[in-house]
Amino acid sequence: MFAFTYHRPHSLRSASAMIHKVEEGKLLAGGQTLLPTMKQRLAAPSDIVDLMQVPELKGITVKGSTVIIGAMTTHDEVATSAAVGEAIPALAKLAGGIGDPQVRHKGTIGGSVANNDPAADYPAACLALNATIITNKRKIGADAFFKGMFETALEPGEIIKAIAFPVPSKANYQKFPNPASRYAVVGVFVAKKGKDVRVAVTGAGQNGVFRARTMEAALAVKFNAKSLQGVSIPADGLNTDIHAGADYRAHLIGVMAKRAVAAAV
Amino acid sequence: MKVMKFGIGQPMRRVEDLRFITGKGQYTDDIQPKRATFAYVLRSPHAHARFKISDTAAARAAPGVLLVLTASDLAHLGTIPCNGVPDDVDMVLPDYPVLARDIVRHVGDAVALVVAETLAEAREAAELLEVTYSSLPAASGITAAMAVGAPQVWPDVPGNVGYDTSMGDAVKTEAAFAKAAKVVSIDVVNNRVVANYMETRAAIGEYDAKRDVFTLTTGSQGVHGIRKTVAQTILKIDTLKLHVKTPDVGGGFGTKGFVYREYPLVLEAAKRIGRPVKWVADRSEHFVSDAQGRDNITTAHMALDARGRFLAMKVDILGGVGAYLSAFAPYVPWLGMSMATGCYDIGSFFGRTRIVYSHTVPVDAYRGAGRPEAAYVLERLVDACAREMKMPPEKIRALNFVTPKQMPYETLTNRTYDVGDFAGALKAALAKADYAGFSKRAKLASKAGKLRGIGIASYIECTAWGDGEEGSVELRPDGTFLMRVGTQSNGQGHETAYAQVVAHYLDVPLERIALIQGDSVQVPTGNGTGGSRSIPVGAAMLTRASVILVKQLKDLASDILETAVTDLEIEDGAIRVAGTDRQVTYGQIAASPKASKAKLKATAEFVPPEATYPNGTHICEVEIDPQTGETSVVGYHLVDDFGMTLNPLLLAGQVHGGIGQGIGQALMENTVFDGEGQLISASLMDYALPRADHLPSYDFETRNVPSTTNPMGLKGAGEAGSIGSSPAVMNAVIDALYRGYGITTLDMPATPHKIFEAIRDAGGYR
Ligand SMILES: Cc1cc2nc3c(=O)[nH]c(=O)nc-3n(C[C@H](O)[C@H](O)[C@H](O)COP(=O)(O)OP(=O)(O)OC[C@H]3O[C@@H](n4cnc5c(N)ncnc54)[C@H](O)[C@@H]3O)c2cc1C
Repeated sequence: MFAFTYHRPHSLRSASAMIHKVEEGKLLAGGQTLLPTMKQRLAAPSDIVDLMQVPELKGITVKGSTVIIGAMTTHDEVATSAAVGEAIPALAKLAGGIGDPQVRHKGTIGGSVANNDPAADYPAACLALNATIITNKRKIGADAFFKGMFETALEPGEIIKAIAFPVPSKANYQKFPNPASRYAVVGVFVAKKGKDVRVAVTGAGQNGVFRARTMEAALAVKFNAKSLQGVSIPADGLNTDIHAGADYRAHLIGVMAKRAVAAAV
Repeated sequence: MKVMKFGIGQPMRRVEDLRFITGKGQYTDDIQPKRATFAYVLRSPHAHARFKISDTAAARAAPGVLLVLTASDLAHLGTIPCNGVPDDVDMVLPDYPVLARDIVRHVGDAVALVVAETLAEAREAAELLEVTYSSLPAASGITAAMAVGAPQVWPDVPGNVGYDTSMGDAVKTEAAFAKAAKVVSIDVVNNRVVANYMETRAAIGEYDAKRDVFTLTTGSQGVHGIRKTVAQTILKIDTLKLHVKTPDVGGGFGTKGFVYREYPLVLEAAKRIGRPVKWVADRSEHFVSDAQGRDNITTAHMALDARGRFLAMKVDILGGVGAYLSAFAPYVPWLGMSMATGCYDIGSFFGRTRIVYSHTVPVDAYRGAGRPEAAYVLERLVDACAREMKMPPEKIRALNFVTPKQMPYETLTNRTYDVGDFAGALKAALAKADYAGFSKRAKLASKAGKLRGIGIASYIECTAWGDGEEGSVELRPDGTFLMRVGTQSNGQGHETAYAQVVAHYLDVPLERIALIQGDSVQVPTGNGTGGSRSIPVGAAMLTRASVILVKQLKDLASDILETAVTDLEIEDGAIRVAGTDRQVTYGQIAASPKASKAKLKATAEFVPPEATYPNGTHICEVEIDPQTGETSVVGYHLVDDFGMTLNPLLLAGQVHGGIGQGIGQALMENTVFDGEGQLISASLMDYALPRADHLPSYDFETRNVPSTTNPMGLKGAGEAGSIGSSPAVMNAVIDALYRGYGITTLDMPATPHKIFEAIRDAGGYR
């Protein structure tokens, strides 16, 4: 790790002011991605602005048919939240399946969404549930937010405040984890809200999370695992690594999607 | 002798655990010598390259830097020796220098050492070293290294084959194959694995200029071997000028037994700067700087008669050794060949073994060292024979086992099995596993969309051969006992196991028996831990020492109590006149003017006359999700013959851990080098180790037949779990895939990806 200056603001405004003032600043949430990167000397920020003490980024609230989760909410808090468990059980289950207990107790939803790791779980939930990413400047729809691997619509220094998830009528997330890291080799989030069906796939795409439109169309006709029979995702554009080839990922998307539809509640 | 409360055979809890689980263990990195400095090893990013260090001035001038060492500073040092050349083998031993000279030969090859006031400063300074690499083509792994025109790792080792040796009778074997009713052949890969002990390696070098004595503190598997090699061969000093200490060790598995470059480096550096020098590997460094395990490619053939009897067997082993020859590297595949015929009575045998260099991390002994590879090949082959002969796998085994009546049994690989009841263990394991009920379970699984498979592996291995142990037991002034043993616990629980032996004879609680290990001054000699030798050799030695000490103490008690020795008995931490309450405690004996140091201490030695041969049968049951290719181990039953059980809890711990490693190797652990020799599974984010939720509950039982070559009947148990498990798991996986899709072969690790491909290629998804 290289030397850096550490800041701990106590309000969103001062966090924003600090991150804009410093030369090459980085926001720090749970540190589960940022700190290992710094330790491996792959990142060398001049300043760290720790969001831990920023009150505006905390808490889970349910407003009508929307669940709003503060950016600094840990995966464990989401997994064990009664409110989330009741409104969107699929989201609570997703959070409970991230990494391991240590990671879940430190890692945050804001950090995960901002990072947009192509194998992360939350981006699939955001996309399938048509979430809104609320920053200190604006509101961004999930479809416009995820721009490709590790790329988002966030501007430099822009801070995610919370994520708002509309409560679906039915949803489920199925993940095939990398046995080493437990990130998704393939994760499929299926959500139905009224007539609208959205299927988001993480772990598989070379450009990160994406929507499986052919599956959505098939499921819009009838929301049933059988509707996905014969609907395949082309292997082109999918990742190949030591854990899975593109064809295997394509196959797993089909399996996970069917299982998610069958299990959706 | 009556059964002692704390003695041999009792399920005593580990006396060391309180220390460990309350964070009071002292590992090398926990030790902070005064005025310590910190070392960082600069390592090659290339698998094969010519290099030059053009400038060290900037690094030397960097803040906090105390020393920079490159190969040119170390001309006075010897190279790291290889002591594991099989007896009948002639081979070139390429230089393994303490720091690479001119050429790097694997990713992670050590290029320079930087010592500074802090690790961060050392690391930053290392980046200022001007190293220019001109990369050369690399032979990445066995197959690439064996290809025609492959890049050469060593100029004097043409074709990268380090040796080519054989065992057995080629003519007789070919003749048997010629008249066989059936010949069954397999090709198997024994995948390379990374040890991944919890505690990465670490070393602290110190130099006392006044006495001209070096001290090396490092987590090892025995201080004496390291002392000898580092002192005599590398530093070229008198052995007694080097003091080696090993504190608590967080896992060794064979891999921590070797001398590594960092040991002479921290000593050399300590002498030059006059301060202690500490080096601790991080996890990434572990992946490229510690010897790796396994890495065999083997072809094997069995000739059978029409009834399924094994007429003859041939094996052809390629053992990867990586770029440099680590301590026992050449010996490991040869040792495997010497166990190739396993539990079976085979008419004739011919084996060929070649070791192969490549531009990869060195490979050396790892839990089982050769025997897991042998058992894996053989048990896969036997299952293939059963399939092709359409015989049940348990029947073909029973038909071909060496029988108790044939004992002692001379193998065709020049070994003598003294005892063993292989059929008995198989039968007991089949019963435990409810083998007969398997087809019902398979049907149920298939209703749930799963493929169920069951796999048997009957193994025999060899442990505790070669050197002996000399050690002592002494009564201390406070009435407690002290054992000195030259083996080294890496977490196995030697403090408990050894104390049980002494308690058995002296009837004192384990807490009153201390163990000194890991100190080349306080324990004069030793041969360390490896080859499952600590209990069979160490405990046998302690038995002898305890018996001698009992006699000496009884003699003293007889003097003190003025009673004939024959009237004395040992009870509850004292020696008493039988049937009376007249007694003298150990504390009183120690304090008696009649006692002397010599009378309170007993030294003994045990040298094993032969290896011991633990054996048994593992039965694994798996369920495969054919949609995802995922395998779950749903049942695990095993019956082992360890000759004698010293402590059933410690024994179960060894067996469980070994099976965990075997399941890990069979299903998950994938060491992947790309075509350029880059290790791409170089962190725990990509290298999958088994976790608790990957492992089943084990149904384990012993069916001991005491060894006749060990005075206590003991056979080594440290490695057996990893030997029986990988073939049992793979036989179960292949059994499931065979039932579902007619698939007859698959290499480890049987990852979901590989199983998906196998099912796809068999038309399973059409
Ligand atoms: C071993 C391991 C296993 C893991 N397994 C999984 C898994 O299975 N599934 C999964 O989805 N994830 C997994 N993760 C990732 C982890 O769960 C976190 O989600 C992730 O590391 C980011 O969250 P964080 O809070 O740690 O963010 P940090 O590491 O602190 O930050 C990550 C990035 O986001 C930025 N950032 C943080 N907060 C904000 C904000 N409010 N506004 C704007 N930018 C911000 C930071 O500047 C930084 O660039 C794993 C991580 C580890 C180490």
